[in-house]
Amino acid sequence: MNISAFDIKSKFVEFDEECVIHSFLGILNNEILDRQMTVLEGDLLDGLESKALKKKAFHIFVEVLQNLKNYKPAHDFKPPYEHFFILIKDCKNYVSVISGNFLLNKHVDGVRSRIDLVNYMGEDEVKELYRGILDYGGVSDGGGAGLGFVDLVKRSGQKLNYEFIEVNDSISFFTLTITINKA
Amino acid sequence: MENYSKAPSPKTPRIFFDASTGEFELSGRSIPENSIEFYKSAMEWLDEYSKSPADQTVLNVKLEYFNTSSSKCLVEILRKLESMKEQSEVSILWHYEEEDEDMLESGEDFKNLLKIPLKLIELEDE
Repeated sequence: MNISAFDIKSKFVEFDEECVIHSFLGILNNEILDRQMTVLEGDLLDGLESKALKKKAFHIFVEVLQNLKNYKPAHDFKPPYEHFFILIKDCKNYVSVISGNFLLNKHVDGVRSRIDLVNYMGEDEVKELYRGILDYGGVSDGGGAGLGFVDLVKRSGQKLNYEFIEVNDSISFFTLTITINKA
Repeated sequence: MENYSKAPSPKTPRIFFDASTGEFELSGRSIPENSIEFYKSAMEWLDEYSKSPADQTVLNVKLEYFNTSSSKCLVEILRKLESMKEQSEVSILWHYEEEDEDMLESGEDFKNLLKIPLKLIELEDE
């Protein structure tokens, strides 16, 4: 797919449909990510059935925003690639957090393999991997704890859905959906 | 030695380490972007404390949320306490809210990594 054919807004609209309780499309910078974080300090998640579900959704939203923040500074994307989106859905049977952002093609394989690895694992294996990384200590290449995708799978109890769309020779668009079942 | 104290903020926990009684508390939210920077002074304080700890050291963890980068710092704090176990009777009291399976599971994760007692305590919903 080339630049003219990819439009973040139309991708965003694809997700911004039924049961969305929060959606944002804008420039990816620290100030905006911080502002997104404060969204949750209001009553946005109060409609969720239980305190446990609310906490889970909060945690996942924060992790996704912080993952975006960790990725952003080292790769200062120029227009029109500086945008991102994030949404929260509260549907009948599930809650989901969806993010979309540009990333460099050279990072696609690494991200894909980390997600595939945790998606392939069973619940106990994910738990073991999480404990192993925790035990090992240190900071990951991305500047974080190296627990990002593992934590999202462990906490949501569901496989991560993702998509990479190649925009041009150096940039792709990455969407990530984390679902928490209510039952 | 002076006590270590940090007031809570929307993204960071309350930390209070009492050097003379060995009563420590970590409570609230821990979701700073730069956890290493945030916990640095607490780690340094613990290094000093470990030279002459109280007879008993009890850390009460009452966290509502913590992000993945904080989890690495928590391990480091707990490991520092673990390293004092010859000089001080060290224990961790891990409080979690009723029905908060994630925080219970996190407590179990930490318990699994440590060689000091970690007690899981359920807090009843208000």
